[in-house]
Amino acid sequence: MNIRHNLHTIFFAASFAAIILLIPLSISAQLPSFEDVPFSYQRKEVRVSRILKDKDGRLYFGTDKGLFSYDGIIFNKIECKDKLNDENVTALFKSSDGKIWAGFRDGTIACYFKKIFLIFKPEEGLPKVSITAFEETIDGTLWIATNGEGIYCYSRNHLSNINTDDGLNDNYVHSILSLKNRDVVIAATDQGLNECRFSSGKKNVVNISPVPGLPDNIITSLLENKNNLIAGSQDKGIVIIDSAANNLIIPDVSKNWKYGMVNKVAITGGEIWIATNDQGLVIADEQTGKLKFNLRNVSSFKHTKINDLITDNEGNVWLACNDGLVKSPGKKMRLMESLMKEKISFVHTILFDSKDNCWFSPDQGLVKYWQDPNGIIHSQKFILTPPEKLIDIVTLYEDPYGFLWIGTMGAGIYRLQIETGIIKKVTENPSILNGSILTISGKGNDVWIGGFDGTSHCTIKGSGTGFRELDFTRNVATDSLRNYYVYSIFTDKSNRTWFGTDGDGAYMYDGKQLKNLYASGLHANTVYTILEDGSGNIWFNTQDNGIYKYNGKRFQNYSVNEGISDISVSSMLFDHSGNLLLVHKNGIDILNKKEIRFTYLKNNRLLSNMNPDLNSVSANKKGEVYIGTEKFILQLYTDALNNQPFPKTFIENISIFQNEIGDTTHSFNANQNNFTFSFIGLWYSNPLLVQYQYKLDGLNDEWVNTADREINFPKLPPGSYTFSIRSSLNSDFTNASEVSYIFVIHPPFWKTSWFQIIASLSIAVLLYFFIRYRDKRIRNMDRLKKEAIEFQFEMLKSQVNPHFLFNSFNTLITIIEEDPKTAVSYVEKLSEFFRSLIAYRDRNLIPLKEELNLLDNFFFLQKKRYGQHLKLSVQPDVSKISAFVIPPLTLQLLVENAIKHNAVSKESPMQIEVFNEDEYIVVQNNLNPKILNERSSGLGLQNITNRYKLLTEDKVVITNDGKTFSVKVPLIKRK
Amino acid sequence: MHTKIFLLLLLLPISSALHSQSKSLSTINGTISFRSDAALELIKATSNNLMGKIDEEKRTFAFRVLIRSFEGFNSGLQQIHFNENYLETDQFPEATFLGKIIEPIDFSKNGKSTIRTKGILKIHGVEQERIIKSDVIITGNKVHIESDFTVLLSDHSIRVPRVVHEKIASEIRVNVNADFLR
Repeated sequence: MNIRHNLHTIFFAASFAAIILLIPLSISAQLPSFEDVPFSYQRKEVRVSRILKDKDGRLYFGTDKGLFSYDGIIFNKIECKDKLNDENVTALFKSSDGKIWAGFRDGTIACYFKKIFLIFKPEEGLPKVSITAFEETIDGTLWIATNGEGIYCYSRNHLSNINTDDGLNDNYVHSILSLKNRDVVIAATDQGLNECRFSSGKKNVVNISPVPGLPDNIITSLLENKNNLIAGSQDKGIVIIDSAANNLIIPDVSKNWKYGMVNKVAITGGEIWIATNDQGLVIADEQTGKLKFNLRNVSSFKHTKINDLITDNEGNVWLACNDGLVKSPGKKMRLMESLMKEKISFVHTILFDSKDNCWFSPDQGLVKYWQDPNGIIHSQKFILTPPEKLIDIVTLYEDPYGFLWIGTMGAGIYRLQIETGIIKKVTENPSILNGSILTISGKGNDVWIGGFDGTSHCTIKGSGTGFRELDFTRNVATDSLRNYYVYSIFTDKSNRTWFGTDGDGAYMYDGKQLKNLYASGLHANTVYTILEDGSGNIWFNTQDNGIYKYNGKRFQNYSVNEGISDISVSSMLFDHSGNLLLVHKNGIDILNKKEIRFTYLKNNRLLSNMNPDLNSVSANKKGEVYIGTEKFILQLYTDALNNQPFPKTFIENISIFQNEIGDTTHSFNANQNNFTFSFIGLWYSNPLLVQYQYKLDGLNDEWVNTADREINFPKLPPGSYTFSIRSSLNSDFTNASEVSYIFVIHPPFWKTSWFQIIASLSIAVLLYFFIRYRDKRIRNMDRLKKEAIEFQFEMLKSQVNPHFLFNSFNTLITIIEEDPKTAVSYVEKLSEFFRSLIAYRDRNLIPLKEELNLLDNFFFLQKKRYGQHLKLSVQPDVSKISAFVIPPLTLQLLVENAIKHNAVSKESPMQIEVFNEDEYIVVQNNLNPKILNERSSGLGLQNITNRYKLLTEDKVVITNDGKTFSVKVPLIKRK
Repeated sequence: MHTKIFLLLLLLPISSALHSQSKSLSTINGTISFRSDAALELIKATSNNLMGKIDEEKRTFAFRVLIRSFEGFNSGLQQIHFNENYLETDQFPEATFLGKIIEPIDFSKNGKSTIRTKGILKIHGVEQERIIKSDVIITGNKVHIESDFTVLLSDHSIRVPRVVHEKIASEIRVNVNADFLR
C-alpha cells in the first residue's frame, strides 16, 4: 500500500520556545466510501453474480434466485413464464435491440423483452453447461460463451456451435468481447485467446494464443475502453492491449500482482476498479496504472470475493460481492482514511495551500498531506509544543510569502514557513499571546485576526525570505467588535473588509468606518462565513437564517423555500468552478450558480451526524473539496456531483381496477375508469430524495406534488386524457425529465351521438305509427258511431216502418176478437219490442241473451201474423250464451230480413233456424223469394257486415246456395 | 467450537481414469490442513488422509478427503461443532476436487514447476468451479504437489452463527501437500 512512513525528526526551538515535532503518519488517501445495499428475497439473502445496466440506465441483477430489476428502492423479481430448473444466473447481457439475455448455470438461456421473460428455445436446443458470457457483433449475431461446450452463435434463427473441433483452443470460455465495428469476437479460454468469426454460416476460428508478452494465458475478463482492450487475467492482474498501436501494456498495478484472479474490470472516474475472486477490490489510477488501494477486510470494505462490478449513469459503482451487494459513490465522494488503526476525527480546520498541499488539524496537532508528482501520497504530522497540553488548532491562513498562520485555542498564533517547516510563535502582540483565535484572513500585507476578543489587525513588513516583522496597530474603528466573538473576516476585491460576529451580525469596514449590516437587510445575529463570488457579490452564511447574498445594493436571503435543505449551515465554500457548497450537520447542498440548481448529499448513512466544524472546508485546484468533520475528512468531487443527470422518470405500470395493462392500449370503455399509475424517477444515488409532480390533462391541468410512487384516479368521466409525471430532487422541476401517457375513455353507448341519432329517429318513427294508429282508431270509432247511428236510423225506420205497424195492427185486430188474452199479450210483446229498440239504440253491444229475448219478442209478433207457416227454432248452446255479446238487433234484423224477402204461406212455410256453430251464431232460412220483392234499401245486411268489421277480425259470412240462405255472425267474447 | 472445512480429495473412482491403460499416479502421502485466522481465535486442523490420483496423459485428476479425518482442533468440542454443525459430516462426509490440469506438464522430467488446475471443488455438498495453482516437484518417479488456496464459507453455504463470527474467519486458508508415485 501507499503508506508512507516519512521519518523526520526536527526539533526547532523558536525564541518563544515553540517546538514542532514531525512524526510520520500512516495516512492513506481518499478511500471510496461504500454502502451495503440489503438484498433479500422471500426472507433469504440473495447473492448477486451479475449486474447489468439497460439502455435507460436501469439496473438488473442476476442472482442465485433469478433475475431482478431494481429501481433504487425495490428489487423486483422477474418471473419467467417458462419453468426454470435452476435459477442461478451466470451471465447477463443486453443486445442492441433492447432485449435482456440471462444465462443460467444449467445452460438455460432466457430473454426478457417488453416485460415478458421467456426461455430461449432455438430449434437446435440449448447448451448443457453453464453460460459464462454473451456478446453481439455488428452483423447482429448473438454469441454465447459456455463453460465446457465452447461458443454458440445465434444468427438467422439458427444456433451454431463453435468448439475445439472448429479450432477453438479450449471449450471452457471465460469471456468474449466483440471488437467495435467488426464482426469478430475475442474469446478467452483456459488455453488463451481466440479470434472467432461467423459469417454466412461459416465458422472461422484463429487461435491467437499465446499472445507474445501476455503474462498470463488465462484471461478471465475482457473490457473495451476507448481504443484499448483491458484484459483481466487469472493470476497476473490486468493487461492493457492497445489496439491502435498494437502493443501490450502491463500497468504498474500488475507488476508483482498478488491479488489472485480478476473477475471483472471497470473504468470509473479516472480509475481502474478491479474485482478479484478472493482479494477484494483493487483500484489503480487509469493514467499511471499505479495501484491506489487494495480494499479487503478493512473497516469500510469487508468483502473478499467480488463477482461483478458496474458503474451506473450517475457515477455510482455497484459491486456484487459474494456476501452482499455494495454501492459506492465512486469518485464523487470519498473519505480520507487512515489504513492503520488510527482514525481521523474531530477535524477543526482544513486548508489547501497555494501548492495544493492539504493542511488539517485532526483533534490535536497539524497534518500536512500531499501527493508527489508520481502520485505517491505523503503525510506528516506536526505537534506544537509547549504547552504540554496539546493545542487545538482552529484556523489556518496562508500569507503571500509562503507562511502558514496557525490560529489556536488559547495559545495564540504560530507561523510556519511551508518550505522549511520552521515554526515560530507570533509574539508581537502581547494581547494575543494566549488568545483564542477563530479566524485569520488577509489580503496582501494586511492580516486580520478574529477571536474571542473581537478583532485585531497587523501589517507584514520587511523583505527577504525569512520570518517578516509584524506591525500590530490598534484600529480604533474596529474596537467596537471587542465584545463579540469574530467568526470570519473577509477582505473583498474592493478592499472592503467584512466581519461576521456571534451575536451582533455582520459588519462592513470600508477603511474609515465600521457599519453594522442589520439595518441594510442582513437579518442575522450570528454570521459564520463571508465570501465573495466571481461577480463581486458578497455571500454570508448565518447561524440560523440560511444564507444571504449582497449584490452591492440589497441583501437576498436563500432559505428552505429557495432550496436549502437545512438553514443551519456550518461552512460555506466556492469550489474551483464557482459552485457554492453549503455544509450542514447531516449533509451538503451544492448550488450550481449558473443553473440555480441544487444538488444534495443527504439522507445518507455516512453523512448523517457527521458534525462538520465551523469553516472546516477547503477546495483544491483539481476540483476537489475537502470537508473536515467530527468523524472523517470527506472529499467531494463537485464537478462529478454537478454533472449527474436528473432523475430519469418512467411510468412503471398502468392498471385499471388493479389489473395491469400494457402501455400500448390507449382506448377504454366508459366502465374502465379507475386508473392507477405507478412511476419512478430513477436516482440510484439517493432514491429517497426523489419527489414527483403529476398532472392529468383533461381532468386538471395543474401539476400536483407527491412523494408517493403511485397515484389512483377513480371514476374518471369519459374524455381524452394525458397523464404526465416528472421527477426532481427538489421543488424545482424546470429541467425535470417528464413522461406522458395519452388515453381516451369512450362515453357509454347511450351517450354517443350516433346512438342518440338512431334513438331519436326510432322515437320519431314510433310516434308516427302511434299517431297513425290512433288516427285510424279515432276514424274507426267515428265510423262505428256513424254506422251505429245509421243502423239505429235504419232500424227505427224499419221498425217504425208503416208496413210493420200496419201488419202488426192487422194482426192485433184479428187476435183481439178471437182471443182477447193473446191480444193483450201481443200488445205487451209489441210494446216490449219497441222499448227494447229504444233502449238498445245507444249501445254497441248487448249480451247475447238479451238479443235472444228481443228476438223472441219479435218472433212472437210475426208468429201471430204468419201462424203455423213460420217457424223459428233457436238452439244456441245455452252454456255459451252468457259468455258472449252481440251488436243489438243483429239477430232480429236477420230474422226480419228472412221474413221480408221470402214468401211465407201454407205452400211454402218458412223455417228459420238460429244455432251456434263454433264461434259463430248462424241464422238460416229456406229460400222462397217473393215474386214481387218488397222494396229494400239493402242496407240491413251491409250494415251488419260493416259493424262487425269494426268490432272483430272475424267476418260475417253470408251463404246463399239457392235453397237456404244463411248468415253467420261471429260471437264476440264479453270483455 | 467451530471450524471449517477442508478439503481435498480423493481420487474419485473416475472409472475411465482408473481402468484405462493410461499412466496414472497415486498418492503415497497426502496431507491437507486448514487455517481459520479470525480476530479472536486461530484454528488449525490437519488430515493425513488425503488421497489423489492423476491421469498423466489425460491431465485429469481427482482428490478426496474425509472430513472426519481432520484433527488438531483447539478443543474436542470444537471438532464436534466442526463436524456436526458446520460441515455436517454425516450428510456430506467428504470433500473432493476433480478436474484437469490446464498447463501442459511432463511428469517424467525432474524439476519444479507451477501449474494451474481447473476443477470442481465440492465441500459441504456445494460445488464451485475453481482454478487452483500448485507447485509440482518431480524427482525420479516421485511427484510432490503443494498448493495453497482459500475457501470462502459463503461459497459453500457453510453458515456460522453470528456469535462466533469473531472466532471463525470467513475465508479459510488451505494447504495441500501430496506425494505421488508414478
